[in-house]
Amino acid sequence: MHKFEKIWMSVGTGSLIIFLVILGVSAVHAGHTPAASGIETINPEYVRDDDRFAEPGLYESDDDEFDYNLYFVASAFNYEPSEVEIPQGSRVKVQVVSTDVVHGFQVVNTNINMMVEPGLVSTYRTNFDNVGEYLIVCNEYCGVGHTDMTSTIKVVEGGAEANE
Amino acid sequence: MTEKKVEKIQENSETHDVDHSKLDLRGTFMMVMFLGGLIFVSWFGAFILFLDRM
Amino acid sequence: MSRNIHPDQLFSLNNRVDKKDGKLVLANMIWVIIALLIGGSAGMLQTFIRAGMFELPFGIGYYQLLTLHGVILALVLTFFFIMGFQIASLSRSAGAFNDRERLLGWIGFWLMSAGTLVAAAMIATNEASVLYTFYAPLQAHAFYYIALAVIIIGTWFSVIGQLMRYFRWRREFKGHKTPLLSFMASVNNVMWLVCTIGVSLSVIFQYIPWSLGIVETINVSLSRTLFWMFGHALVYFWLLPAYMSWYVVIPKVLGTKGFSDNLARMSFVLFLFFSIPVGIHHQLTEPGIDAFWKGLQVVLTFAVIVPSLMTAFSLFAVFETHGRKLGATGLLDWFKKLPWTDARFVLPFLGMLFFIPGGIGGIINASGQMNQLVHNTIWVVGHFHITVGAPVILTYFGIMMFLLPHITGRKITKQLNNMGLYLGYTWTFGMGLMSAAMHFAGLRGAPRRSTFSEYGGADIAQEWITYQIMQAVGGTFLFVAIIIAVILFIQLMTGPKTAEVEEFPVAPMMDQSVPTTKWVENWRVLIIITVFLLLIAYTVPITQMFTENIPDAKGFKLW
Repeated sequence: MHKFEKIWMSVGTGSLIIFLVILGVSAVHAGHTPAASGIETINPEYVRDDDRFAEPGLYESDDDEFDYNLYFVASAFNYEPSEVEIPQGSRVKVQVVSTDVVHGFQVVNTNINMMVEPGLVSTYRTNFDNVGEYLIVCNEYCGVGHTDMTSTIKVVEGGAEANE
Repeated sequence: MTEKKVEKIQENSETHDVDHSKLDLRGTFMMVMFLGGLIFVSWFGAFILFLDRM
Repeated sequence: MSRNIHPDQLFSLNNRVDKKDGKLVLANMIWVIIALLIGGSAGMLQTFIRAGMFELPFGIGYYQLLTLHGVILALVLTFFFIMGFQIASLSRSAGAFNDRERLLGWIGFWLMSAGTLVAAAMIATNEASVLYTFYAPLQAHAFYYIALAVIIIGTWFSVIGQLMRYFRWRREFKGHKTPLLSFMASVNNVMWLVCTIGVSLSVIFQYIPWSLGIVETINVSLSRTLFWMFGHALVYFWLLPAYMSWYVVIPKVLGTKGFSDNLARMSFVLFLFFSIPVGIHHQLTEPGIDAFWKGLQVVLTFAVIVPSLMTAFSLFAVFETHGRKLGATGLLDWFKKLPWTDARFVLPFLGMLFFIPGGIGGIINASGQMNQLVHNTIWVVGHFHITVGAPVILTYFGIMMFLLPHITGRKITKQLNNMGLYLGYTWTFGMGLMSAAMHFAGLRGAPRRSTFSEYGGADIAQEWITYQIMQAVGGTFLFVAIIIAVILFIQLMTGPKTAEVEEFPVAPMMDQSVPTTKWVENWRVLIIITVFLLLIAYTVPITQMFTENIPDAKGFKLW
């Protein structure tokens, strides 16, 4: 093996290991595990019988870790609710379910980007710190009306600080 | 055109080619280190964008 | 009746692809040209539709077109090319196939052809607008799934014929190391047999009974996981034939030796180990899989980057060594000594350049939670167009440059060589523009697999449309390149025959005379390690999909 080849392979694999360590630390210590990980089941045909998804939207949370729970129902070809206001600075647990096929729940310009599959609840924990309007799209092909699936999150001033 | 050249190269390199350490690979080293730098910078760029959107 | 090539004669210029094998290779290659034309045209139309500049007539749907584009390019074109090229490589480096081996190749070819035609009919009649990934519970016509299964089974026949050829050489020349090209093809084939098990089980036991109405519901998580167990190995199945050319063919085109036989074999073995137990990195943002198993497969995915780092070094080393033998003395002036007017070199070289951003993007995509930044955005589409859509396909083009005349008894003329160069530059420009636009739009959130939409007049969607117009410009250049390619390939097969036939370049390696590391050709060990890694990565996640009582889903036809 050439000396330079040894150096290159060490530097290359070393960088990969550094990346992995950073990702691991970010996942374990900062709670940035990949979106929607874990298994929570729900029957896609009886989604509405679940209290959380009967009338999806923003609800105050009982959990100390969160200010709000935000529930979405995805179905061909719309999101419910079609618009939601969230106070700035809120700590929110987002949960999305599908009543039919696979959808892709993406809040544009945020890290909220996860698959929604029939039979499972997709959960993501996040903070809404920046005021603004965020477009929600479906990013997994779900049929002819795929691009009609939109919703909006409006992050408005006067949020969590006022609550506490 | 290349056949003759190959034969000649094969003849005079048979003995030392096996040992890569005799090759002059300064340029290769520079290129791969540049590549490594590019990987490093791009990855951290993406990671910073990820943290920014957190 | 068929002769093995003696190890001492591996590099003799008399070695040609056997005539009968050549016919089989050619049959496969003709599908490649047809697929390129149809799939490429579909691709160009998609860029126009998405830019809001064109609407499809006759009630054809955008997603119908997208399904066609994916199936015909990602599956049909690549499968036929890979079978054709690997058969040619084995015939060239190990010797002619015997009748039984060749028959398996033909059975494979006809099964793949039949499957392709049936799948095409289902797509054409709008019975299967579920894209090439056919995610349940969108439900296509049963014939679509059956057709895809038949295509896969067809590749198995061809692959088994090829493996029999390789093992026959090994038996006859016990103790000799096998020809490098034949070893590489065999690694790719064994990987293929292992990785297609998952998707075949899923299609045969899940999709077909479900679409026939024998069962009402389907386990969605399981079907997706089995698909991606195959789906990521698929991309290496595309890539390894390109690597075969980079390691073995390109040095000979330059007129020099390959860097290292041992390194090349080692990198292929690593691809065999790590191509399959990594599919969950396509499922990083989905429910039904625990974070730990996502993390484990991210680590395994990073392992599969290592052989590409090795490849990068050895390629530069070949170029530099070659340039220095021709008199280069400076740090980088050896680049000038490369054959910049030889299309057999320029086409794959342009591909290699694409693989730099392609590989970097891949590392970012696979980086666990960072996947949320880009998942299912059009960034991903940009990514695979500068991996399979440029490095892989440009190398395939470079291979066809010499393979078609080699088989049909012709030579590359100066004019055809120039056409090859134009093909390379046009493709590079079009793909560069299109994929750059896709990457930027993706980072700004534009979703993939979406027709033209203003998303209710959202500001951000306006910004995406600007990028989509750039994609349409790129798509136009790519279409021009495809026309050049089709004319070029037809001329390479139909020009005047020549006494001296175009060479199938196969380079000896610098360490050709050194024996190979023993375990690298110990297939029992290789397969055990491959399966072992697969079991580690998948046993628990798949078991959970059975034991966690995830409700199954009914089928929907929403197009």
